[in-house]
Amino acid sequence: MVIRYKKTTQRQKHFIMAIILSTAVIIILVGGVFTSLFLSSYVIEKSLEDPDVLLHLNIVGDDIVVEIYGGRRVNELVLLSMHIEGQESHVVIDVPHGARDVVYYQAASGLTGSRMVEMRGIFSNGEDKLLSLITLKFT
Amino acid sequence: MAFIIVAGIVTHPDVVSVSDEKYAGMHGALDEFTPTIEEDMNEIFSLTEATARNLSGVSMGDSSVELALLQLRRDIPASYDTYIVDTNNTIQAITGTSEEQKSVGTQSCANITEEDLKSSKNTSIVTSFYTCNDGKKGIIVIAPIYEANGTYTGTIRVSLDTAYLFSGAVDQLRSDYGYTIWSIQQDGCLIYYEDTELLGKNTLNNEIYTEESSFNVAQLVTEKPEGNISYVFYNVGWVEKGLINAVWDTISFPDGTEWRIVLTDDISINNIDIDNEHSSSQFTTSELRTFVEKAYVYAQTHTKEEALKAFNDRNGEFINGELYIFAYDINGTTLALPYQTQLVGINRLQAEDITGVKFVQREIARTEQGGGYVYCQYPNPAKGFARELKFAYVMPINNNWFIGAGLYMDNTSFEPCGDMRNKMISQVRNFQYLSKIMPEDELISMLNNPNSSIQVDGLYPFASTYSGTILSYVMDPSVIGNNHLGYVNSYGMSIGREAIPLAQSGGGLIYSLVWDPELERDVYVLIYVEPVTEDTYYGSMIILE
Repeated sequence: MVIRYKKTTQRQKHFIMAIILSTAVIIILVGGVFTSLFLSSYVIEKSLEDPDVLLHLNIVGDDIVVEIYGGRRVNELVLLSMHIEGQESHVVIDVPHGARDVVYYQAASGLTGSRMVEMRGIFSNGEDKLLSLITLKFT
Repeated sequence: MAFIIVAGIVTHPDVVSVSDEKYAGMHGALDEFTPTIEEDMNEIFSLTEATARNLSGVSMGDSSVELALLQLRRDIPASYDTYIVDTNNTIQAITGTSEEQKSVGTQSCANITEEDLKSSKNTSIVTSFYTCNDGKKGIIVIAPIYEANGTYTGTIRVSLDTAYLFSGAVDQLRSDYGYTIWSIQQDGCLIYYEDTELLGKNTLNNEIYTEESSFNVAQLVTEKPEGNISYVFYNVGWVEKGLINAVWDTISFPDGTEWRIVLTDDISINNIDIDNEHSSSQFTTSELRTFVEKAYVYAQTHTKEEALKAFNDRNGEFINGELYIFAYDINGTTLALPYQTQLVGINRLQAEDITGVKFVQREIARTEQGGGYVYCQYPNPAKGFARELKFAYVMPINNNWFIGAGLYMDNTSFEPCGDMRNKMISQVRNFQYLSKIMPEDELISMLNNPNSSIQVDGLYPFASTYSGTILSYVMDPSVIGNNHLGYVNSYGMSIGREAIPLAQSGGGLIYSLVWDPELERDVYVLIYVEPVTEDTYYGSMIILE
C-alpha cells in the first residue's frame, strides 16, 4: 500500500496559519471581554452589597436633611462634611452614634437653581471618604 | 384608556346592544355632555376668527400682535400657545417663554395652505391630532388672516390640549353619572381619554392591539356616526376582562371634521374582584415613607435590573396592600408599575390626571430636590381603578431614575373643579396680558387689593420673584415681602421651590397643602403658575375642600 501525502503549498500554509492565529486572537479577546465583564460586575455587586454608609439627601424648605440608612461602616462614622457647588467651604457636622438623620439647618437658604452637592464621611480612624455626589435642584 | 379598551376587545360572537334601560340613561348623559364640548369648540372658533379679523392689516412688528395673542391665549384656557404663521408656513409670532420664542422663523408643524382654507369655506380648520417635538399633544385650530383688500397673509393658530378641553366636563360627568368618555377622530386616532399617555394612538392599527378580534369596536365607532354596543374588554390594569356598555354620538365642525364621542359605563370596573387586603387604606404617611425607604435601600444594594424586577413583581415584597413601588427614569419613561405593566417602557412625561396636573413631571420635580411628598390623582387598584387623590413619596436612586409609592386619601373627596380651574388659568394669563400694558407695581397693587376688578370669587392670586420674595398673596397679605423658599407645609413641601421651576418651564398645575390663616390649618389647593416677566411669576389657587 502506498501512502500518498498531499503536498501543501506555501500559500496554503500561510492561509492555515492565518486562520489559526485569527482563531487564537478571537478566543483571547472573547475571554478577555468575559473576564472584564465578570470582574466589573463583581466590583459593582461588591460595592452594592457593601456601601460604607448608605445615605440620602433632600431639601426641606431651607434645610438639607441627610437620612442615614446603614452601611458596613456606619458605626465608624463620626462626621459628615457637605459641600454645595458655588459655596466656598465644606460644612462639617457631628454624627451622633446611631443617628438616623442629620439636618443641615438653613443650608439651602437663598439657594436657587441646580447645584452639585458632595457629601463626605469622616470615620473614626480619620479616613475621609466620598459618600454621595448628587445634583439637587433648589428651585 | 380608550385604546386599551379597544385593544382589549376580545372575541365576542354574541355582540349585543346596550339594554334599553341602560341605553336611556347613558344616551341622556351623552346628550348632556356632547353640547358642552361643541359649545367650547364653537367659542374657540369664534375667538380665533375674531382675533384673525382684528389682525387684518397689522404688521407683525406691531405691539398689538403680542397683545392679541396673549388675549386669545387668556380666553382659551385649554390652549398651549397662540401664534401666527405666514403664507410660507413660517411662524411669525408666538406667546410663551423665551424657549418658545425660538420657534419664530421656523416651520409650523401643521402645513395648511390657502387652498385648504378655501375648501373649508374660509372657516376655522381643526387639524388632526399631533405630537410636537416638545412632547405637547393636541389639535390646532387655524383661522385665516386676510388684508382689507382680500389678500391672504397667513393664519392665526391655537394649539389645544385636548385633555384640558375634555377633562372638566368629564370630571363633572363622572361625578354626576359615574360615566366616562373616550373620543376618536374619523381615522381612529384617540383624541381623549383619561389615561392621557394613550392620546394620539390609533385604535385601528396601533401595535398595542395584539389580540385577534372578530369584532372591532373602534372600527364600528369610526364607521357609524352614532350607535351603542356592549363589549368585553380588559380593565384599566389589564387584570381581567369585563363587560362595558358604550353609547356614542358625533360632533361635526364647519370644516367637515368629525369627532366620535363615546360614553362608557364603569360596570366592569366596579365588578373587579378586589382582594380584601386591598380594599381599605390602612397605612399612615409615615409607613408610606418607610415602605419607599426600604425599596430605596434595596435599589442601592442591588443592580438596577434586580431592583426593577422586584418592583414589578406583583407577588413580591414591594407590594403591600394598596402600597406598591413605581419607578420612572428622569425623562418620564416607566420602569416599574406592577399594576399597569403594559405601561412599562412607555414615556409618561406628558401624562395628566383628570384635572390637568402632569403627575410624572411633578414627581420628577420633587425627585430633583432629593425627594419627598407629592400629590396627584391616580387610578386606585383597590377601588376599581377609580381616580382618587394620591399622596406619593418619591426618592431618587441616582440622577437617572427614581422610585415612589402612594397612599390614596380615603377621607378626601373633591368636587369637580373644571370650571374653576379654567377661571384660574384665565386669571393668571390675564396677569400676563396686563403686565404688558401697565407698570408691574400697579399690577401688584391690583393683586393685593381684594376689591380690584382682577379678583375672582374663590381664587387666591399671588406673585413672587424667582428668588422667592413674595410680591402678592391675597390669602395672607402678612407674608408679602418675605422669602417663601423656606416655608414648608406639614409634609415638608415647599410651594415656592416647586412653583418656581414649574413657572420657569412655562407654567402648569400642582396640588399642595397650604396654610389657611382663617381656618388655622393646612388646606388642599390646586395651584396654577405661569412666568410673567423675566424676574417674576404669577399664580392663583383654588381651595379644593
